[in-house]
Amino acid sequence: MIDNLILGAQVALSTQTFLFCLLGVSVGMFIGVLPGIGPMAAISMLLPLTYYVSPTDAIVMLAGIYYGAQYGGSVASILLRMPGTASSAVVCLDGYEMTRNGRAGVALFISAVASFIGGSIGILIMTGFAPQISQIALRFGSPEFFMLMALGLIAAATLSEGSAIRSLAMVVVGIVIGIVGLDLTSGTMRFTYGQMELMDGVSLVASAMGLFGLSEVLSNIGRKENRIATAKVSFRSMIPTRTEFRDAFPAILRGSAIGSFFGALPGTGSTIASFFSYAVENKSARNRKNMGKGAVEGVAGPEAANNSAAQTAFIPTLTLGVPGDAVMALLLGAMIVHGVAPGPRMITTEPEMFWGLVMSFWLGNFILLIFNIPLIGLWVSMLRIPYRLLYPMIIVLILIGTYSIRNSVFDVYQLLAFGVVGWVMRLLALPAPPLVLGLVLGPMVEENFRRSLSLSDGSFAIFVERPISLTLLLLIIGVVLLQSGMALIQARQALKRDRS
Amino acid sequence: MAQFFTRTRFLYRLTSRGSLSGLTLIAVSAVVILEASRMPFGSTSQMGPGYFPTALGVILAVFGLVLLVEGWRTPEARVTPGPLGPPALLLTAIVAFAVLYEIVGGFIAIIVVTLIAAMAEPGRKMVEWLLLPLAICFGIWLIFGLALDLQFKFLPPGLMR
Repeated sequence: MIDNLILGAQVALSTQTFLFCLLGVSVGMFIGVLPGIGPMAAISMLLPLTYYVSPTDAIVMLAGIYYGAQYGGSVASILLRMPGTASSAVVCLDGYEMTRNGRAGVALFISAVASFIGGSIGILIMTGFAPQISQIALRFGSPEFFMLMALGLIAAATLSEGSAIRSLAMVVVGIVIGIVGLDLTSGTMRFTYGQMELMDGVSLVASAMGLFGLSEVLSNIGRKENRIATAKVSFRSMIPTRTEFRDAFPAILRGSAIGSFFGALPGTGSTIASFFSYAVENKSARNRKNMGKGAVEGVAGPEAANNSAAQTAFIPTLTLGVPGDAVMALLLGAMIVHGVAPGPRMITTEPEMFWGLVMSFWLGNFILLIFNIPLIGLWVSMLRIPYRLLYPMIIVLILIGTYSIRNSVFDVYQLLAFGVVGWVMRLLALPAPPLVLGLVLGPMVEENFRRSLSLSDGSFAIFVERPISLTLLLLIIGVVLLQSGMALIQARQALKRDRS
Repeated sequence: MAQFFTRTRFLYRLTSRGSLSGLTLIAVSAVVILEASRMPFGSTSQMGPGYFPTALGVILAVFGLVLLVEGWRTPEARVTPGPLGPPALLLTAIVAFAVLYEIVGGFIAIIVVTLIAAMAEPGRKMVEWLLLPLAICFGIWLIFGLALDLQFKFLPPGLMR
């Protein structure tokens, strides 16, 4: 273990990897701060750049965007009541109240410290458990992998906010788009309609940029209210009082525990973790009467939770090859493009990459702590850039990024098509993240499904005869029952409210 | 136009957000099943290329029906597209890039894209019209040309040797 950590530190501290880590967390922080561009859009915008660097540097940078955005997301939540990322939406509740009470500096400080502690605990858990989990996963066969992916996809779709049916439907659409191209088993072209460019499948970059980057601009343009930060944050205003610190600390620990757990499950990510943590704080915080009116726990708990989840989310992605959310799916896709196959064998076959990544997380979190406390004023001033200057830049970046991967105008048209699809999906309230999850996992889902059933000679009993597969199936049933139960309770409460 | 859809109760229910989502999914599933039916189906133990897509298409149709029923029951949720002009301008800008890039090179294509895109949000000062395209060209050249050294053609093909 010690040897591995030293190896990882050597990789992470090499000049080039360090620079990519710095670049990743800076971009992550930047887009996290700006409301309206999420980590999905940023990662897809930077994917093209990674084709020119080593796989380790690429993944270090893309991962940095992901957890960097978790830090940055809370800044706009606290100052403007506009979440920079979905997982920091819940921080608006108490964070913005603190700003209105003149405690913006303290809220930002607590959120940075909570993020750092949460992230650190997440990294420790990842270091300890990832090798064990990959040992167990070595015994998995096709039926287990199929069930695991099904669990991940179903859990991600049903546990996220919004309608479960809509998310599940989008997972299925994603799988269909994912299997476009040459079917390797039979050599048949599927859904390509004679376009040779589609032989290798739909372009991941073009689809992600279209669905997240372009469609975002398409729906914001012409109806964006321009809110601009006015709060000034000085270093002195950031120091919390002793009571505030004493109240926040237990919330940070509770949030880290919740976040580590939800992040590590396949199919649940940082958004669920932060909402769950807020619910727990609502019940158990010392200032629970003050929740929603500017309680520090309401910032500390969810911020610790989403950052620890952002780190432990790498456990299922790297050890099982099953991403927890759409951002992880995109990272998984990037690794596959770079010829690295995440899965149980990755830790032993690519130790430099795995341990280098783990150590880069420490480095990245440390850089982010510096960004968030002494340098916070710089990021706050970013909130003054008006959207009318920002969106033309986003459009051009998306265009050049998509084109330059394969120097292909065809990919620009793919981008256009996915942008329109994403825009229509927004109008119909059909969520895009489950689609990307399905798109990345689609080919693997089909392959494992086919293999399982050809192993069993066509009998579906193979999924219940094997103990691990059966356990996973029971978990899927549990998730579905839990979700329907919660929906039922909500419906009853709504009914009661209507009557009274 | 909007009044037409709310004139009768049938049309009102049929154009709710849920119903439109359901109908869209059903249409997608029809395309998927139709296309998959042209490929060999195989058997469960020896799946052909059409097996899995057909299964997905059927599942999708079921989800579509559920959403259609849901939308029929709660027609209050509507689709609110907002003004269509600005998104149309942005899409035009992208097509312009795709068409122009190989003819006039990256710089001119980027300037055209920026100008068309900028029209989507009116009320700009003259300085912005001039400086924004130039600033974006410079930034893109810095990242993609200087730092990454990509195979990206900035100048018109005629000017290059």
